[in-house]
Amino acid sequence: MTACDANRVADRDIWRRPAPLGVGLPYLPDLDAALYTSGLIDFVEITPDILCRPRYGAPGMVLDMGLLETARDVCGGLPIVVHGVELSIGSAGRWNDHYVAMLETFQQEWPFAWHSEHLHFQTIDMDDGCGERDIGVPLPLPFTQAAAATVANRTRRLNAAFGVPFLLENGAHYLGRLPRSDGIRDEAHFLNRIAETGDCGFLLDLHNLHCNAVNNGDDAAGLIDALRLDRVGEIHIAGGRWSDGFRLDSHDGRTPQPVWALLDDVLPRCPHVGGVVFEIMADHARRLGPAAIVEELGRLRAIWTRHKAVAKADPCLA
Amino acid sequence: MPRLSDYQRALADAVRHGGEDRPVPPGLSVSGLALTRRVRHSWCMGRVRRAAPLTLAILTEDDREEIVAEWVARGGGTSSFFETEAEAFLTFVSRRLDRPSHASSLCRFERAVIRARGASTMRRLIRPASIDSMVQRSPHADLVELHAPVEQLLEALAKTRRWPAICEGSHRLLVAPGIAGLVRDASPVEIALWHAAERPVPAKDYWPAARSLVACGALETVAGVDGC
Repeated sequence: MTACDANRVADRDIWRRPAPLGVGLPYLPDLDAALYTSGLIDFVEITPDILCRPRYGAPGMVLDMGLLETARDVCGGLPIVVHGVELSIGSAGRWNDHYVAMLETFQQEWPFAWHSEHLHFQTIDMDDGCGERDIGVPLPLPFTQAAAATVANRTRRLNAAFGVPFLLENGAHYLGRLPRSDGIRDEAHFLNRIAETGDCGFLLDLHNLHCNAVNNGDDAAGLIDALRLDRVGEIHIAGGRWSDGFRLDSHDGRTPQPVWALLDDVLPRCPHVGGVVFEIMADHARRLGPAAIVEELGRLRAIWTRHKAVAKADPCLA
Repeated sequence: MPRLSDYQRALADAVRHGGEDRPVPPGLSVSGLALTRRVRHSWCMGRVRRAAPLTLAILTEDDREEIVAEWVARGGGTSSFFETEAEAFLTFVSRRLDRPSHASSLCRFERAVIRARGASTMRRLIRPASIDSMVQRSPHADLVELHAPVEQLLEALAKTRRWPAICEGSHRLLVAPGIAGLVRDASPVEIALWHAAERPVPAKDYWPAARSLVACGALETVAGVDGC
């Protein structure tokens, strides 16, 4: 048994790798539906929260079957992955149990290849008897053992509940140097610890890395070097804009050159990546227009094809 | 390093409550925290504006900005579900509006439509009314009084005419999840039944209107109560 065979066996037991799908696009209800069946994309990334309504007379959310059927029609039989926004997996008190329950129903209705969430917290229990309440904006976790353990415990529960790979997305923030302790040196170390103890993978968002490099002085290349790239199951690219000297993670435009460069660097080093997605917000997709989106997808396709062809030739990466 | 819950509370507090007097959690960027506050504030304002477009359209620009800003300052604008945000915001706004006024009635109308539309998407078991049953108002329905004909209100909203004078008691709309389009004019007997059904009433006293209002989700049968 070669070294790369041994690594494969060890990893197979602890982390179910995503199947290779290719180039993806988020499901955006207002986008021209023809884009999804044009052959430009191989899979669709669904945020199930946008197919939900609040549960009347009780807390929580329920799937709107009408919205779900519309989405299914638009996607035209393409494979899907889930990218959630409501879980708040890092909240010290409770995560969003209602999201988990909704996702179980969603999976029964429309199975997905893998699912992902953002590594942050967006609800807080202020000990005022009201329970968890929305903060209104996602916030980053400190790089501590307590935060890593909180998230890892939950990712293991997600693995048991859903039986498909679960990926955590590295976040963008504007807060400078985040607190760290317990020997956790940096973001890569923090992410690796969660993945190893929580049996999950990463959704590596390259625009978020770029934002943190610009805004907080983080070393994007250094993070990539230190991250367990064998755990990267999906990659996001996106655009953003500038405000008061900060780079905003606003998903409102085309992918900037530094993010394309990061993709070119990191993609061939991620042996188990299942897909790359151009992320854009619904409002901005309308403004950007289908022609620009098609160009972004074409460039993404070219990079994906080039690196996957190289990977096929390498027995350790194939 | 503080406990995770303490760290999160301190950070959330610093982001939710702007102002120079608020302490910044140790080590974090002051300018970055200020930007995070602005991003949050902008998101919250956007959620509120999307949640109640009809009611906000009737207010003057100054009133609109003031009322949205006050709501966000009180902690509103954080729900990602627009129905949840709309329910809470419109309840808040309704207490601020003069009565009777077009703003007040359109606010109530918008809230009623959002409730009914939400309920219309849910799979719910409707127990049909029998003549012996008791019936009461459904929480997903409302009877809304407009103070002018709908056409005149729409023209005023479109700024093609001045707001009509307040005219009480003549334009009552039934809003319920089972009505096609969610809204229709209410008949005099339906108006009387709606008012009576604030508490359970015998269906036979308003038959057959009680049967039709239960069928369209405006009323519900009361479980376990015998009307005889």
